[in-house]
Amino acid sequence: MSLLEVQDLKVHFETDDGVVRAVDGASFSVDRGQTLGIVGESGCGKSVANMTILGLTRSPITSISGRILLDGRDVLEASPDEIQAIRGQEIAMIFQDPLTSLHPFYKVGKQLVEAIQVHKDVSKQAARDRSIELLGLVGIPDPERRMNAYPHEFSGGMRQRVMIAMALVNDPKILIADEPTTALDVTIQAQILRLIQRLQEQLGMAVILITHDLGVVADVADYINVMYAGRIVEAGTLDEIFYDPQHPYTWGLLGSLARPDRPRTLRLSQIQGQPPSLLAPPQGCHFRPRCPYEFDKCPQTPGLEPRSGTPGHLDRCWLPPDKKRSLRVVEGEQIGLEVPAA
Amino acid sequence: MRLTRLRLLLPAMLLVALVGVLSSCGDSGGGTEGGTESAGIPSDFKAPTAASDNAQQGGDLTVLNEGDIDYMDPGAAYYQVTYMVTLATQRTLMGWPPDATEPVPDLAEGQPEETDGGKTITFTIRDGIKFSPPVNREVTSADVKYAIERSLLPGVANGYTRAYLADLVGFKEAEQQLKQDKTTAPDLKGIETPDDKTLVLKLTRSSSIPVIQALSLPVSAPVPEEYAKEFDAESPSTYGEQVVFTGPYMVQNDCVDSSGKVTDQDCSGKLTGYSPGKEISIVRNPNWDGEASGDFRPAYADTITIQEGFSDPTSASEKILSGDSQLSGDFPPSPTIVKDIATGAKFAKDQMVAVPSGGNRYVALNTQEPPFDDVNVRKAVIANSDREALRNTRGGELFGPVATHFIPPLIPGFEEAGGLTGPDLDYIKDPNGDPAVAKKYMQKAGFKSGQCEGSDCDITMVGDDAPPGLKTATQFKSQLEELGFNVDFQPVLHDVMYTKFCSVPTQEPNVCPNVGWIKDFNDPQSILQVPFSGDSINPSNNSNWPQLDDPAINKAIDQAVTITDEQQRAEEWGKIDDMIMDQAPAVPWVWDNDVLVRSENVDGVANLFNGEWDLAYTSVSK
Amino acid sequence: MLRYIVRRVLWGIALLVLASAVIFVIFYVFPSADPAKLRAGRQANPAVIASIREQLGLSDPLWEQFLRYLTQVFTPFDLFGAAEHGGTGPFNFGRSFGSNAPVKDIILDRLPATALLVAGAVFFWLLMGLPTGIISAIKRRSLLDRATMVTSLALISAPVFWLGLVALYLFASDVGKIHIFPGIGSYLEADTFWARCWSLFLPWLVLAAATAAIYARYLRSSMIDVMSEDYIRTARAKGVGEGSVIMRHGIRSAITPIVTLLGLDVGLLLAGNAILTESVFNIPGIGHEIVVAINRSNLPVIQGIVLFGAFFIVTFNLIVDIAYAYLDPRVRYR
Repeated sequence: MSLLEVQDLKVHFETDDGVVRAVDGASFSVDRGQTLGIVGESGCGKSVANMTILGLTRSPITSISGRILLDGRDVLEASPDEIQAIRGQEIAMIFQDPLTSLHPFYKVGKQLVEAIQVHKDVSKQAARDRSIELLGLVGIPDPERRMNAYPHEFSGGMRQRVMIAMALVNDPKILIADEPTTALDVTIQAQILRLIQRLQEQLGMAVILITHDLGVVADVADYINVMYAGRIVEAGTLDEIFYDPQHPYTWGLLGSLARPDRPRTLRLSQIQGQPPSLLAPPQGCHFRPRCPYEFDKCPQTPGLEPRSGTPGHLDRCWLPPDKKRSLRVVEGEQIGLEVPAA
Repeated sequence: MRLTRLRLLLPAMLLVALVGVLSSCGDSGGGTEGGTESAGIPSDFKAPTAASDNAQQGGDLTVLNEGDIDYMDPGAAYYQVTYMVTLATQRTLMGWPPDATEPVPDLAEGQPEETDGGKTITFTIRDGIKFSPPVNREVTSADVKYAIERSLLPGVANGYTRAYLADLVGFKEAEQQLKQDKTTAPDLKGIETPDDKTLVLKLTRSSSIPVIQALSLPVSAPVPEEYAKEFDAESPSTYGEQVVFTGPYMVQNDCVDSSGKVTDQDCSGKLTGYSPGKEISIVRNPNWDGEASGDFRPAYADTITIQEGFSDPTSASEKILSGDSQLSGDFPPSPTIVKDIATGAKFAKDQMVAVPSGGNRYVALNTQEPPFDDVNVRKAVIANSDREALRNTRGGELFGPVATHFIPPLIPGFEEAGGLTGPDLDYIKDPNGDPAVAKKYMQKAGFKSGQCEGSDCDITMVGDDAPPGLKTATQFKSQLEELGFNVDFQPVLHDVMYTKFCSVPTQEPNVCPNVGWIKDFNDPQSILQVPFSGDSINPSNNSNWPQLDDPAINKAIDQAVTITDEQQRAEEWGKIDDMIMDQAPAVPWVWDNDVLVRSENVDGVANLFNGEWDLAYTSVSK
Repeated sequence: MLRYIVRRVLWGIALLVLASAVIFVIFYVFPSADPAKLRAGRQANPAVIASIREQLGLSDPLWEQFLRYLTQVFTPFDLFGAAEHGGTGPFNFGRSFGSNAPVKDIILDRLPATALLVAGAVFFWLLMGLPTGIISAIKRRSLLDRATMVTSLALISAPVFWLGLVALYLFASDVGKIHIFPGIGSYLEADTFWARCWSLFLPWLVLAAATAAIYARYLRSSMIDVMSEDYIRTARAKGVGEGSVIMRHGIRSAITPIVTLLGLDVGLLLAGNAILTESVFNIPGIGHEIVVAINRSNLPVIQGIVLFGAFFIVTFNLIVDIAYAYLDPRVRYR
């Protein structure tokens, strides 16, 4: 049994315009020591699904169905007190923009100490010591002095390190990182990603890395789940996704990657069309309106199944696997990296 | 003195239809005895002018005022609202018990002696009258001399001295002295003090009657020169912060506590009981011995507090009427309250009283500018005016009878001028106006249609911007429009109306609807001279608003000033009033009453001289 | 920080001078009564009026009168005839045209009443407005929220003097239907501090009512904005309980614009903005005094109160800015 299993999660919001089906049947899982990358465009439901794990989407207008099993316990059934105990202690989450995600009026040390004292009955000094330790761990120089600094006194990359430190103070089992590098410079991005990887190796936690950029997960993820319009449309190991992608959407994502080993094209190719409205998604496969290969089976909702032959490699596309392999050409380019001679 | 009913902030909404019977019709009421009946006040609301037989000593009274007194310095006091304080705290040469219609000796021992055909007046000062702490000594005639002399200083600027005491010998020399030295009181040779108790006034002509009357004003309250000199040397004088008193009461200073006991022998005399605009604390004067010094004042209450700043007459009146030990000061009850009391809906009827104020109100027509330079047009305007409607804008019958000439009731000359019905003139006969008579005079003026025609019909009017003056002005405007006039009405602040428009001849509009005059004292000269004599027109502070300048009237006035026989005087001034009405310079519309209210447990006594509660006679009943 | 304060103080003084100039101009340009004539009485001749005017210093050219005034207020020097006309300064605001009392004494006499009125009103409007605003924000669209918003709209729209009169007629111990609170003029009668406070109870509630409503609405919208910020989400994700999220994270941010508002409101009220409340209840404060002064064309008093008012507003502006820097660390480095 995995550490975290999300089974057929549906998260719907009742708005004045109708029901928004933000997450429409997503399933994924992650284990200790693993890094799961969840990739998809804005609005595909990746953030909502993960925030739901922490109960952050609970509200009078939300209806949630499915199961989220943490070490076997269904988190969706948890009481408010139980959820509060999980947050920041068993599962920690960091967010996209560290400047707005930290309280501007409180010193960083105070916010770190709060993260500890909310869960553990320890003295302030002990909490401070632990905080300083974490700041050092994430690579902040002179951590003791920096405890008294305000968030706006840090650079972008340093701020994100602080957020990571704050997330890790209680040794969580799972770290969910929602677009942790999107707001940062490209050079800093790499630093942060390496930091997360290093911390994971050190602390042995599971990491869910949410991003819209396949390039980000290319280095660090063990498993990748591609999400589209509220559903996981392909799931597999890093190699499987990059070398043998099965879903037309994944092809599009791969095709739009800038690749240093190819001659530079005049423009990056894009996937035509827009993501569907989550108020009224298309019948059956959600990707139909944008898929160049739509055929008569598509109006039936495809299940997430291992169609390619490899047991762990799942996808939601009715196309036969050999057809998929021959079709995955985008603008004259073969999608999928050269498979090394097996 | 011009009328000063300080304006009220909230509007007077309703006209009042009073239940009281107008008992004035056909009332002959000779002179001045049993006064208020002949002034048209319903008997339900007649003000007591004597204390009841079982009035008791003790108790604390509170007076509620809208505004403040004008000056604490008796030498500067000008308006009647201030007399409420001065009548109780200062003894003047001649004084006013509440029911008096002629001045009664106060500081003076008996009536003054007039000799030399009325050109020399001799007063004897009583024994035993002492100044309040810190001066403490007995009053002498020199103190009265100094009081009058200092009132000429620009830093004191008494409004009456030059008007009534200019006939004193040596007056011109005194004014010369002032030109050289503005901070030392000049020496008036016409006032002699042969000894400490004798005061002799020498006049250049026999104007003894107005002079003696003028000496009943606060200006004759004694002022100790050795104490006041340093304050009078400031500009303006700061004596107002250091006043000493001779009456049964004093305004609290740093020498006494609230029971009037001396607590500090080393005090400076600085008034602690006067917070301008806020409060006046009046306590007993420890140096007053009423019995020994022949004072007519009983002085029942132990303390009197005047609280100022009540801007809403309805809520303030309610507070007085439903509370304890309170009196109204300078504001009348609002029409809603008047109605409540008059109809018996709320409060006892005797909690509200009316007293003649001794003043009139009229609409002045500028006789120096067309179209009102034509006497026929003026007569037409008077004939057309619904003077009762104008009177009712102030609140109804209780606020005074509709006027038919200028001398008010209780003043000598009132009956001689025609009393309540007035002179036999067709344009004054009907209090609601007579359009037929109006038409007749308009036609006489050359307007065949009976309505005004031509560019002269575009006239200007400047009046009050707040009720009740605003209501009166608007009412009169619509009456003028009935005669075909086009009225451009500019409402402004009350003080601005006077100092910038109506009292400046070059700026005066055609109509000044909110003017009037209150007697300075109980002599018709003080009602008619300044407002209607051509000799008193002055270019910057004019109170002859019609700018009437009739040589016959001017001469008659000048001669009537020096009449010493009382009966003859009343007849002459009555004639002058009628001569003025013949010229139709203004539309008289009311002889004002002051309406006062009191708490149930107050035995209130009203003073006929200033038309307010008399604080030295009013008591708290147990 | 020190340089900043010095700069602001100098600016403040310049503003005070400017305010004086404006009042001077207004007084002389618009029709106002002539104080020399008022003082001289109805029957005075021109010579007397002229000598009074000269004594009051009003016959000098306007610019000289203005500079004399500034000299007397701000400096101890004898320039422009200061010693002759009212004495040298500093802080000499002249004498009232009406009663000759020194204007400074009049203002200092009136200030405590206004200050006490304002202090109590502030206490009540914060007490009533803040929790209401916060709860309305948290329980948005609930019955409580809607009821609060309707009530606050009613209170904001009701004219203060109407509210005051209604309160008196309902609750005043002398004229009201239910005898609870002291009525009009009770402040004048009170002689101890506690009696004065009691006499101000109705005025406090009346003055606080409309302001509480404004603050409630303001705080409600501020809270709604703040609670949708990212750092609130972080706090929840950390496991902070909802109560602490609201108190420590939400309110702490939402309150800063309120602090600014409060400082400005207090400055304005001390400058005389409580006119209506003071008039209805006859509280001898600054607002009441300036109304009377304007009606009587009493220039020295008007000038003095305006200057004091400008001083309070400038000072409170400065205090608010400093407080804001203290509350929001992001603005500290200018």
